Amino acid sequence: MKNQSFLLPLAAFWPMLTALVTYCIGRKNKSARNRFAQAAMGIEFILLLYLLQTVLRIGNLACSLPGLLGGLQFEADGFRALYALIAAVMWLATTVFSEEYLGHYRNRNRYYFFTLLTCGATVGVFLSADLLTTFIFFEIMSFTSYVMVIHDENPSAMRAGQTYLAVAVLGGMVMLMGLFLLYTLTGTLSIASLREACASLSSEQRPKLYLAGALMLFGFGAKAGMYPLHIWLPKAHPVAPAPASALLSGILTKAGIFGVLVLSCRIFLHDRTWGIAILALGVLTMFTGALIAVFSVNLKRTLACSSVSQIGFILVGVGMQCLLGEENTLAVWGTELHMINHSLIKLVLFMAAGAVYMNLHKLDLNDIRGFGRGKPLLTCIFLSGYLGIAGVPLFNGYISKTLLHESIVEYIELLEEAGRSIVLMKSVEWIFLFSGGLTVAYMTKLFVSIFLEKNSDSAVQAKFDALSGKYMHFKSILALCLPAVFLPIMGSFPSHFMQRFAEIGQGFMNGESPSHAIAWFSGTNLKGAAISILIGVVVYFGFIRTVLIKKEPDGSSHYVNLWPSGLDMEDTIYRPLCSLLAKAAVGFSSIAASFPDWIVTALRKTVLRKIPIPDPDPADHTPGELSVDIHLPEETSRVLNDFSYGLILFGIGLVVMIVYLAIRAS
Amino acid sequence: MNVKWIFLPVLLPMLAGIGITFLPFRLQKTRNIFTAAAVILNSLIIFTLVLSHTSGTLTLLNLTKDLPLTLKLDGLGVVFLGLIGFLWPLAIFYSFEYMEHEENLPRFFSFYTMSYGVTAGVALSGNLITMYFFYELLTLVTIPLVAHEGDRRSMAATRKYIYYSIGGATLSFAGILMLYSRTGCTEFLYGGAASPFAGDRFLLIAWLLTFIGFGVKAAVFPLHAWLPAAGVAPTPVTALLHAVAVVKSGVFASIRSTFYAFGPVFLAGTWAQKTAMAITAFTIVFGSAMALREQHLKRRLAYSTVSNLSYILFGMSLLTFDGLTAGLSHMLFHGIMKITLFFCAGTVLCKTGREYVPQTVGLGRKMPFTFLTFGIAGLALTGTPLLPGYISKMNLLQAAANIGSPFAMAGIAALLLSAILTAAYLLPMTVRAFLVNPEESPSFTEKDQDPGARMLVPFAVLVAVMLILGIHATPLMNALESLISGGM
Repeated sequence: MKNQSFLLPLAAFWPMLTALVTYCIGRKNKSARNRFAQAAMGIEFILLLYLLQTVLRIGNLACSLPGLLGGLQFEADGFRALYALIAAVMWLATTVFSEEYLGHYRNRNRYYFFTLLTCGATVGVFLSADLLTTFIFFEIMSFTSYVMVIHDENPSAMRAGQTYLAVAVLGGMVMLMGLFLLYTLTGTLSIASLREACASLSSEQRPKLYLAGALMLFGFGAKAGMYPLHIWLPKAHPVAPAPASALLSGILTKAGIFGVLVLSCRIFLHDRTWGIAILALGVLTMFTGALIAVFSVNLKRTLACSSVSQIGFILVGVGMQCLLGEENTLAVWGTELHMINHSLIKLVLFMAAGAVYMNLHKLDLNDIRGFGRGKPLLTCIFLSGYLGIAGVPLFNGYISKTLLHESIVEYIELLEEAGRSIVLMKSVEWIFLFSGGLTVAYMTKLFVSIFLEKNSDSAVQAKFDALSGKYMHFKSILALCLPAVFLPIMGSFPSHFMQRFAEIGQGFMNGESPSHAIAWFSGTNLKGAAISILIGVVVYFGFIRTVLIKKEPDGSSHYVNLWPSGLDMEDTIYRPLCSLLAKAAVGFSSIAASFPDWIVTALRKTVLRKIPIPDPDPADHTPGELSVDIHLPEETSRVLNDFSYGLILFGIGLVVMIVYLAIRAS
Repeated sequence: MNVKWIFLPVLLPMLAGIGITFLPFRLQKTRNIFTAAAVILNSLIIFTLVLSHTSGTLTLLNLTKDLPLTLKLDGLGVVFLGLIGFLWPLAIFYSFEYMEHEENLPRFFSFYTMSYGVTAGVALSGNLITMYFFYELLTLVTIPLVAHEGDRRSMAATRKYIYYSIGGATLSFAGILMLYSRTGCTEFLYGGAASPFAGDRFLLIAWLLTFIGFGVKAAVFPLHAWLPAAGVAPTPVTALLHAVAVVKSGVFASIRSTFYAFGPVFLAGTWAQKTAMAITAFTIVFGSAMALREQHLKRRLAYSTVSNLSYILFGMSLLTFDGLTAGLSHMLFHGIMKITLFFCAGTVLCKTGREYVPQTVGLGRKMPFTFLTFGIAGLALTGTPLLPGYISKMNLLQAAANIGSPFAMAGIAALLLSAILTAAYLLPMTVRAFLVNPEESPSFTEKDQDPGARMLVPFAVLVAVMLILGIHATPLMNALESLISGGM
């Protein structure tokens, strides 16, 4: 028996409620609105902290609201409470940062309104107990976050928003199809009972279950940014305001991953076929994202591509969970910790990017080059995120990447023991390490260009230097520093933080604590990180510095975008495909629509052919005698009037009749 | 209330309709007040009837010894009656401002009010023959409304409307007679009368005839063509009659004949059911695709109606209790959502003269309330959570999932595909309406602004109702279920 608690719906609906209040306050007083929104997010944070603490103390909480939206079911276990808390942290930090970042923006009320709504919906996704509830909050989240993407309302934002909305609507509907297929198979959508319901399915129904799973994966994967549905991410993140980008990248993608986890750890628990599919998609996502990031010359676009790549790392972990079966602890921990790490790191990095954009209103690396020089605080903040995501030991990313790597190594050992081919998994391991190397390379590219190099225009550099010390307000510094400081702390004391987080969350993925303590900084683990960093250094000096930086004869240099535009999947595949499909549907419908007309025409030409009036025979009659004018009156309204008055008279007769009948009947 | 009063909602609007034309009103304003009073009074009577749980049957007349014309109020009738009783007063207020500059107002309001009574008659009919009688009458009283403009275009549309409606009614009449030849004239009763004749091909054909016949008013493919054409009528007509009253009469008649005359047990699992499911599933996608193609705003909404009516009929054709209540919930919600969309489109047409979708780019900043309402209703129709379309679509999907047959799964796919198309034909135009800054565009004039209070009040009421129903629809769903199962 689970404990009932109204904390769960409250956590989801409190931000939505405050969204309304914030909007109303904002119409009167801007600064009061900012303070109120921050306070609301603070309360949300405390609420979820209390929730997590309660869950750890007395176990899972549940709540059901059958009346709302056709029945909402909430549940919180360790993982969900933890992730809802992370969502609250992200919103708290970005809301505080928004105050300065959005200082000169228009439509701030709208921004706050939809951001807070999105917050409630996201928390709702994490706390949902059945997939229908997940779907409801997921859809709300998709629609409200759309407004965050298009906040600037310039053409590129609108176009990115269009892509985002299209992917969201399509993903949502495909997911719903999968949900209903699943429902007809198992008769339940409750996350808790899905595992048993799916395990008891007969083998003939397995293909249908895979189909349902694939459809749902489409929906969740689209939000997570999984290849080949990642197209919206590199477009939407750069155009959204930086706090919104941090949320989109840090937490909204994780809502998608949450769904993938439900699929992989409940419906397809320890299912090899599913595991291989997820692993393949994960490897593709991981590598493609990193590769585009290396080529990108736009700060936020690089970070967005990096998000795609990191989601790929997480998906590799999910795939390994399924492949490893019962012994999947390392993969479970790696997946969960990489999710948490990526959320926090991207929070820091996108807000740091926001600090740059807020001052310069530019994102191109050639324009912002050298901005970070002489700004030690921003340097440290960015460095913390940089080393974290690059997987450098003593930073948090190292821990999760090592776990993920170890899980692949473990599986290779298992395969060797069983005497099976390890070529495939070996190549997965090397792609994994290589993608890690690319991560190091593109982050180094960002760091070097912004914080180490000088701008090619010395006048601009002087302007940048003049900004030192006064480029950010105290509150924003606080919002950036606290998460940034947390990253190395988490990485340096893994047993205190990371292990604790992993143990809280492993139940959701059916993981168990390992039999022996993990040596976080053992030689083999450090070796993996060292290989990645080495690859990164080689790529940076061997490729980025030689090929992607173009030297001018006068000694200056600039970054060039060598990514062939023909490789943009959205423009070359998806948009033409969509318009082709739409045209086909419309064309088919038009033909279908003219179908009744054909019948009429066919009838007219055959059975209902008009008999022509025979020409008057001039021999029998004098001209004019028979040529009666059969003109219909042009003034059709007269005809209408006659007709309608006839109808009224008919109505009167009817009334008289009804009155008579009524009297007679009573 | 005593059962003998249930003829009142039918009679009162007819009397009022005659009064509007023939009483010597000197000012249009007094006539408006008279019209409004009659409509509101009728709605009050309807709600009194509904709330006082009036039951029983009133026999008006025996056509022959075994062929009575009867009126009765049961659960299904209450649902339809409640919907029109709620929407008619709103539409009347909207039409006062909309029709201000039109001609032939007495005629217009006369028939507009009369059609209220006839629609109520459809809802209150006690057997198939009575319903058929009011159903035909509804075609007749709405003809002058479709033909209101009196120009060539509207006359062509009217002709189309007459041909389709009368033709369809003939088919259903044949079906009704075929049924009566087997069972004799029986009163509507949940479960129907055909159950003893399981597998009778004659009756299956009869049902399919009534389905297709009533399907004409419900705009089922391939008999839908009159509906987009009828969009030439003034917007209050399109909004109320061609989004709610007339088309829903078709749906309602179909439900009546299926569940209350033939019976779901008789039909379930037969080829006739599969045919109906296939036709409706096809119409669902077809209507949405045509809406996507259509650039004329009102016709786009009309095609959207074509699609949505088939949602309801698809729910019905599942032949389960779930399917029926799901279909009915969509009937109610779609009525509210679509009338809102039409009101907005009509406001744009009436205030700015713009009829085509591309002309509305940037108009949202000039007419914020109109387009905000349009956007909310559009999201609702797409099926966004927190708004009513989500609830009813989810009910439909769930009912279909409970059946789980290949046809039902195809229907689910059709519903979802249609939802994507709905998003595609409604949302981008809403976004574009707010995109361009009107100050930068010379094509906007002083005229382009939000309408007056008589139009805005219906907007506000409808949006409020949508939000309430979207968030908390459970009482309504429970009421629907108990109405259908308990029959009052």
